[in-house]
Amino acid sequence: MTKNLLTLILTFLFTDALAQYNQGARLKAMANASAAVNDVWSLNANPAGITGLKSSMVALNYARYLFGDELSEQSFAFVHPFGNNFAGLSINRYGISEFNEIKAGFCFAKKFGDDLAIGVKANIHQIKITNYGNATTFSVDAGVNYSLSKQIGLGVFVNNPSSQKYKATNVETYIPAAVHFGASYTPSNKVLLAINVSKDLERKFDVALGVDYKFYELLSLRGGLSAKPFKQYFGIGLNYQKWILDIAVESHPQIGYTPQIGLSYAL
Amino acid sequence: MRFRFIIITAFLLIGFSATAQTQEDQLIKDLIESIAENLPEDYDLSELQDRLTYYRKHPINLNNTNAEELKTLIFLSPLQISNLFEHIRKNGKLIDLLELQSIAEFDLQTIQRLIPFATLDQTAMADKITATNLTKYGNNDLIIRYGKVLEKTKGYTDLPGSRYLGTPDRYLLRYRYTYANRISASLVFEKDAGEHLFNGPKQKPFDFMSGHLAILNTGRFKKIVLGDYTMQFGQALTLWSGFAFGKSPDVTGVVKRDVGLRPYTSANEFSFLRGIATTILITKNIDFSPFVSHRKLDASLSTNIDGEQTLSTINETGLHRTQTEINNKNSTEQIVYGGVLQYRNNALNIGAIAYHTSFNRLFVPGSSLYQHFNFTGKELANVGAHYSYTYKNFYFFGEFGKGIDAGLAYVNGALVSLSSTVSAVVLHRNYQKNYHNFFNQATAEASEAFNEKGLYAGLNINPSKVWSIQFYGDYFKFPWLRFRVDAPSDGYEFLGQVTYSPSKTFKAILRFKSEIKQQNTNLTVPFNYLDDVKKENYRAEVKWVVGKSLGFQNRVEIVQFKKGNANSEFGYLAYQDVSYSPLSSRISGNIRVSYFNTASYDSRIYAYEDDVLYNFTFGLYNGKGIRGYANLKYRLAKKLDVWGRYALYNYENVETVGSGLDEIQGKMKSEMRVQLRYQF
Repeated sequence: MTKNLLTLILTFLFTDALAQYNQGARLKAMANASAAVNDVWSLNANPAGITGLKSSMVALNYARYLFGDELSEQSFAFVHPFGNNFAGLSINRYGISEFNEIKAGFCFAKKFGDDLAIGVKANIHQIKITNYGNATTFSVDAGVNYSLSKQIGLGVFVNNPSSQKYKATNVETYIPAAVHFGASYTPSNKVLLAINVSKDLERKFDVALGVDYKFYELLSLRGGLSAKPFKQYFGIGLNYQKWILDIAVESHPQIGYTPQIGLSYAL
Repeated sequence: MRFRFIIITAFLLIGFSATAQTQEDQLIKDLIESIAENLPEDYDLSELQDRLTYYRKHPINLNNTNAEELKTLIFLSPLQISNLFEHIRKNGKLIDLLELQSIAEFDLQTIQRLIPFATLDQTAMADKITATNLTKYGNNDLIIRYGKVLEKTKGYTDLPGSRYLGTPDRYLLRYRYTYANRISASLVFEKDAGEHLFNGPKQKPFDFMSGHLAILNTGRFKKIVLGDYTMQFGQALTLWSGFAFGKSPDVTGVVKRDVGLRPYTSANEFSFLRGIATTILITKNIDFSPFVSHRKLDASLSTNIDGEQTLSTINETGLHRTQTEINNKNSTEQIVYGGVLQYRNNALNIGAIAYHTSFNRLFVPGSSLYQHFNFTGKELANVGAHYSYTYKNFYFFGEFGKGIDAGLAYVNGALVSLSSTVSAVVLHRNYQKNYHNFFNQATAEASEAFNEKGLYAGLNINPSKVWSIQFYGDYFKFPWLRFRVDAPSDGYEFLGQVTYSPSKTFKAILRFKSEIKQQNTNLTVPFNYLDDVKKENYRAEVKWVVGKSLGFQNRVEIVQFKKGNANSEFGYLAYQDVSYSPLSSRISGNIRVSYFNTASYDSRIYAYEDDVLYNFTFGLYNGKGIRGYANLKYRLAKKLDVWGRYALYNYENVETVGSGLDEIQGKMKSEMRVQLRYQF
């Protein structure tokens, strides 16, 4: 009974707090205003965004939910470019030892000239509840990035457009089906502003706004806001040669602070 | 009606005589208007208008000024001011005002705004204080204003109980004298509607009198002010009397522009100190501002079981119209004394404040639970420390304030110029529920800065000359109960604004603001629970100029208000402004016609209105009807200007306008105002 209750709470929190899968500490610090932003973690956002990478990259991310003793989210991402083609792999795990939700996906993206990029990703989702059972399903993400000018970029992507659900009838966990429109503005090579308008099929419009400011070559400062619910985000990034260390904190009016940390290495 | 007719006739008769320029004030008017547009609601900018008018005549010498003086030009950001001094320090004195373009952060708009108030000329004018100089080079500015609501309100009828004892006329007389940057003096007399004009009870001879004499820049004494003055330091958390900007579409508004000690020349009856204050230079970088003030304040008194007279709040309206208001007048004495020590160098500014406030009556908290942590007693000591520090393109600022035997409050923030087109502001605040301070104007969601925690972040983006975009978001939490909020609560506010101005003669603005707070439910329940209160404002505005003298402005604003599960209610306002200000004519004027329709007071709308010089009006549009006004300025002689204003509300489907003693039979409320200014 307690287990069931716990599962219920986690599921609820999952759908409420994590309408999107983890996009890494950099994009998180920018309020996930990621539709028109390039990052290795675009794998979990706009798949076309991975085409911004110059070389192969591998990344790990860890998020900790402070209201639970052991509730956390781990993510892994890997992207490899072949000329104008990019391949990526991501794995996400969320939960506690008795409750796990796993999303793993394979992504393919392609650049068409300098201004246009398209990406598609296939995901497999699995929920495992100890002594209760498993459920599995599949979903697709797809996205486009377009550079309007050197300073302004546009992006759009969809998650799970066919509204796939878990096959098992006793699992109510929802796989987000949403469309996201975004724009980015890069007034100088130190500053990136990004805005996202998202519409989840089951929710109201959400607007998110993020800033990434490369204060020094080594250090980036980030911040963001999103509207529904009203959340604030802060983060820093440290770039040292091929290593990138990102830290982000999300502040939710009810859930409180959620910190996360990510480490990336350019191969 | 008759008044309007006279205006029109006057317009026709004398509209063509063209000799003197009337443009002088147009610039300030535009500037004030653009600042006012960015204010959320009812603020009084008359003091700012006064300052700008002064600097228009006596421009600031940029090669010989200080941060305190430049901060009075509200449109300059602290980062710009800091960069200007850095530029002068590195490159020597400015040779040409065009040099401003080469200073980081100085965009075209800022320079255009600054130039009318700035100069590089060393004033040749003698500034020694001698009798000859004082008479020969002194500037005198005299304002006489009269205004009246034309309809008779209930308060002036022969009521048995509470009624207005004076006359419905409003008078203002203000005389101001300045001599270079050495001497300043002023005298203000004011009578509000409903008050006695001459020698009424508790007044000799006028209801409100204010004045000051200030001697400036005399040796080590930077400022000496005798009479009425304001003190504005740090981030307004510890010691700040008078008006302070807060959250506004100009996202840098949350960074306070502390201008220190200033003489007081406004007609607001509350927001000042009265006594003597000075700022003394101790060394080149350190100054000290001791002050002492003694004031009589208005408060409703009660008697406690020990027979002692007590109060719980000070009344700030300055109205003394009814017997009760007259009884409350000057019922409480306040003595404040203390000092501010400040250290300044190019990048760093730190200050320490300590002062003591005492009253001759006993403060008791109100009986409601939300007032539980309010100030009690007769005496309060406050200390505070503030700082600002410029590092490259970062401007850090903050302040800590503490009431002795009371709570702690602090605010910290940074203004960052991310690139030439993007700047960001972040401000964190934490004001304890028992933070007591009588001179606290720090940035807050509530009208007073205590019992609040919050985080504010704003962005200002100017991707090109044509576009300008502002955003801010603010999350706030009230750890203790508030008026009409019977539990700890929180909320947030979000604003976005886009301005498009493809040419000098056209400008369009779109604004969206959304705010969610919590408030007691309207339902009758044993224990009040909180309902979300959501208010959203949508505004669209265009402004354009035809030829050289005709300007047009249109605005549509919609307010949506929703509380709990009740249905949304809406309010809307649409107006048309036309202004006429020919370059070389004695006459200028403007009119507004607006239609408004709001479901209730909750969905009311505020809009800035043009008025006679130095009078500042925010129109309150509530109910359903038409609002119109006409302003006219005429230059009678070189030094003599006259203003006239007629404004009216014409409500639909009502029997009376206003409430209580201000109730008017019928559906009209109209007001006229005449003002004369003589400069000599």
